Amino acid sequence: MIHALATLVIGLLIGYLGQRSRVCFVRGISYPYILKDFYPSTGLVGLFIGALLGFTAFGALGGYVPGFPQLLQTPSINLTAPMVFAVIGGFGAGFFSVLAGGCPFRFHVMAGEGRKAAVTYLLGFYVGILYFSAVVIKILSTLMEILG
Amino acid sequence: MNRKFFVFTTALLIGTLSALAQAFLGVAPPVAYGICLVGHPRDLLVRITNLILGTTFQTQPVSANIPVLTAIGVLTGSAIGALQHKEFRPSRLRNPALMFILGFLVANFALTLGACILRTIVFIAYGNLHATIGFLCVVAGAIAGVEYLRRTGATQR
Repeated sequence: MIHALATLVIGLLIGYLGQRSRVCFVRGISYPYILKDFYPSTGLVGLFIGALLGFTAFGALGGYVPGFPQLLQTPSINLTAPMVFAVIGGFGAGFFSVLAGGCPFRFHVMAGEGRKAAVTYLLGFYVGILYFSAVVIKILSTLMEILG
Repeated sequence: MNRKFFVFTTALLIGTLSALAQAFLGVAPPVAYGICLVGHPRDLLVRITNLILGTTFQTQPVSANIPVLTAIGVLTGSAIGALQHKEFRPSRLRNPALMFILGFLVANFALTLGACILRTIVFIAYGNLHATIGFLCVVAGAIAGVEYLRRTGATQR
């Protein structure tokens, strides 16, 4: 129960801050490339530093951070199914997010601002989630059995 | 406040809250799942769908009993911010079918990756190799998207 309440409160806080700051993690990648404008990229750096410091500090304080940092335990690159999914999924998510004009976090924020384009995007996003859960996940499971 | 600094501090706080949610607030397993704007909505939607339609779609273990509510929080928090600062302005919708399809595609590719872009970066901070490869491919995809927009003469919405 506490995790549901915690995510609701955290969501409220980051939704509010996201609306005020207009932080977007896809624009952090595309804007430096298109406009040579690096201010959205500070979001990428801040997120990484915040998470790294958080996991380190909370781990030291006895929090639940099993296997952190993972890179020390799995330092090799193998052509396994999760790696193939990461490549295909990452490329597609980046490509179509740029076409849409923002990351899923930014679109949730824009939908909260009442923008109809973002609400329509989220409708497609949620239908896509259900389609994935019903259909695509079975295809990926079959591929995982083949690739290992 | 300086805009660049505000974006940085907001993202810094999001990263720290993501770690806090996992470390002390029980938003795990899986790890680095404190905030995810594709995984958390998936858990919520799947739980609702399972409840209404009797399906047996899978959620992450953390949402096995009660789903995470991040998406509802973000939508509400953003609406509060917009209303408070008189920025709640429903804009004109130009191409609904395209936006719907783009949302559909982003959800499917992000779930194939296993995370939204926000969680991918948090996962990199956790030291995950697949997330690092995935993020490099997100960057490649984003650059390909920019080049596609340039060549077709389209503008970002």
